[in-house]
Amino acid sequence: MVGLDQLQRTKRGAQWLPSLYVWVDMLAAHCWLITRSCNARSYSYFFRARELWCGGGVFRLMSCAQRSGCSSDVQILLLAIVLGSFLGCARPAGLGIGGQYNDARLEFVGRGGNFDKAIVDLEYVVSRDPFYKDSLTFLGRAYYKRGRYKDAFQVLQRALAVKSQDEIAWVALGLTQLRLGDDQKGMESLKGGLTLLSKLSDNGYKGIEFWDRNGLVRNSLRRMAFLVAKGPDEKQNIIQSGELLLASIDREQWQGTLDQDQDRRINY
Amino acid sequence: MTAKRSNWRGVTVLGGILFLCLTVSPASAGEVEDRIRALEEVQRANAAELEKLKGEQIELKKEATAAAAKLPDFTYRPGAGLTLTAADGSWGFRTRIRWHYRLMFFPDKDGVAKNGFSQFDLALRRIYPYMTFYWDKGFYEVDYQMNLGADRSIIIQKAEFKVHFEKFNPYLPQFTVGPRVSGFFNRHDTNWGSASGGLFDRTMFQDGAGIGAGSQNNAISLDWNNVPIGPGVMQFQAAVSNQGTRGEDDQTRPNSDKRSALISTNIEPFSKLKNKWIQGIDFGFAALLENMHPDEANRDLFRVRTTERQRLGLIEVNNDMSGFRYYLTPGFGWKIGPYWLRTAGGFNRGHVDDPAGGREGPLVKGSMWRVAHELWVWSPKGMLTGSSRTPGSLMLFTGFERDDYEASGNGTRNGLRDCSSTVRNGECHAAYAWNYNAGMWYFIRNGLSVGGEYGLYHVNKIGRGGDDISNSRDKSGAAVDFNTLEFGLRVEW
Repeated sequence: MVGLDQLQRTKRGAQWLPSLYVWVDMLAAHCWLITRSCNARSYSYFFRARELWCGGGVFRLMSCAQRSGCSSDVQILLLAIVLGSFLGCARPAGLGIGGQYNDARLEFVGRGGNFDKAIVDLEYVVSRDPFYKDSLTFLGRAYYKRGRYKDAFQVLQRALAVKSQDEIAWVALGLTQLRLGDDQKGMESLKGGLTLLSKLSDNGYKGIEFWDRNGLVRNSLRRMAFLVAKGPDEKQNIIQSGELLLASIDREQWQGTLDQDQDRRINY
Repeated sequence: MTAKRSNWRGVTVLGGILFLCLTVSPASAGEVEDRIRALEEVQRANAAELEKLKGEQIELKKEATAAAAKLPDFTYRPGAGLTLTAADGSWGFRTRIRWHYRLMFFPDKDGVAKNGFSQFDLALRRIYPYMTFYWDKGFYEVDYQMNLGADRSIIIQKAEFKVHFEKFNPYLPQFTVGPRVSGFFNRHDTNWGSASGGLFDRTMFQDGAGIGAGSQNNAISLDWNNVPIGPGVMQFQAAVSNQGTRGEDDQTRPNSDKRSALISTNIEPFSKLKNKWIQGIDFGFAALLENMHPDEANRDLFRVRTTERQRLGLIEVNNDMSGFRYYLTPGFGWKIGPYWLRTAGGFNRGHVDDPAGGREGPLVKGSMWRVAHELWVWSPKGMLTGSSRTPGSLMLFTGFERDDYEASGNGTRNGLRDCSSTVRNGECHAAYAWNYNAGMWYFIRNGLSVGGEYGLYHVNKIGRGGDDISNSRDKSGAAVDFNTLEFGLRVEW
């Protein structure tokens, strides 16, 4: 950036650089806004572009406008397009590791989540802060969802090294081990995970005051425990049931958060 | 002879058969081969068709699975309503209802039937149907809540459009705009009704001050909910509204240049810790700075009134609020196991209209404090357990509230209304009231509960409500005690 600063001090640089900033910021902002429809690679590329430019982009735009660098009609039009895009966009991508984490988490809600995107988001979060909430567990689960069982296995082991009492990581690890053919260890991991889950899965779990209002998680948990007790002969059913259990927990957490938000408003 | 003839016959038959075999055999072998070939052809064709059908069947299954995967989800959650969500979460809809019905008695001599208070009154407290519409997994939201009043009218209780920027980043706020925006005060003040606690209703002070459900008219609000701070979480709201909490009739065409502001926070500093002694501590504070046009109706916001039936006015300042007032409320709660201690204060300060026609009349000071205890006594899980979502849970509760009003100023018209038996308005300048409640709730199932509450009220110089209690004016300004007994039925579908 030293070069740019020197350039800005020159007459031509002072004339053109603000415009260049506007153009690049506009490009970065557009990239940022359309990331939801991008595939993993382009998402990653756009994300880096955003990271490079959007950090100071707003301030550059403001200072540009203040110094009358944006006084021409074309530049004001471009600025309007950028801001208009922001207002009109479907939903901007997450900001910072918290936002990326939230974005990735939403892919686990409902059916047909974009797990390529979730992987990119979570890899970013983990690269910045591997201890950020349960990002490692979710990354492992995202790998699992995409059929990358070896990656899932490694990441879930890391997740358990960080937090050995992570019941979701134990269940996900067990399912991954079953998928990899290590039935014996898979069953052990699952038993450990289910034991922890049955102890914790009550009101207040995952920060939800009234956890599992309709009992779907409890039912999934019971069915899973029953199948695991029958042994590895039920491997396919165990895998299916385990995936259903994790999906029901994700859904419950999402619904519970919506409930709490609305309950808070109902009461006042 | 007979034997020879028989031999000849046998030889002839055998020869015939042999002849037939020799002549017929070549032709039959060819046919069998043909038939075998034909059958093999059929078999091949069948196998091909079978493969094709199997393929089609798999395709159909895939299509059916894909179609099923695209179907929206219907989810019913007791107490939280019915949610219809697109498979990919791109849209959603939720509906729920809250219902509170009650049966009331005034079992004492100051409030008996001959004085205008009937007994065994069935009455509606609230019916609130809710509808919420989502986009993008709840990023955008339109929330709508109706209030079906006791007089069978329908008014808007809440109506707000929300953008959940906190999903974009946990430290960003929720943005809300709408004709009736939810206002948070603190967890133990306005956010303290029958839906969230044992006591049947909000405080007399708060109800009299027109805080009500806390909704802000034609407002814009920024809310930070569950923002992580160290081992706890924080909630913060900043709202600007068009007309404070008044003016429901002028929702669509407000004509006031007055603006009101609400700032509030609630902090649970240790909520993420596993220590049961401090995990349930929370405290909060709110400030409502309300600025209303002098022509605005319903500015009698300095008063204390009961929440039962016709809202008995216990203390009331003689003149209406003039322009500006502030309402401050701190709150504190401590939850440990089945027990919950809740306290809140309230300060309602402002000026009234100047009876002499000046710009601003004398100062009015109102204050309140309230303390309540809730205890889950029993549930099927055992003694001292239970929750509002656990069928069979039993809760006991008590509460105490003390309210004071002081209307200073010179002249007989600036004091409290009707609190003297000799001079109708303004002779007395200060009064207090208190109220003790105790009762229980039994939770039949998740979202359905029945309960009873006993209330003992005292006011040292009763105002306008004296007329209601005695059905004549001879009670005005007198010290009055009365009891209430109320039974409630609550439904949260």
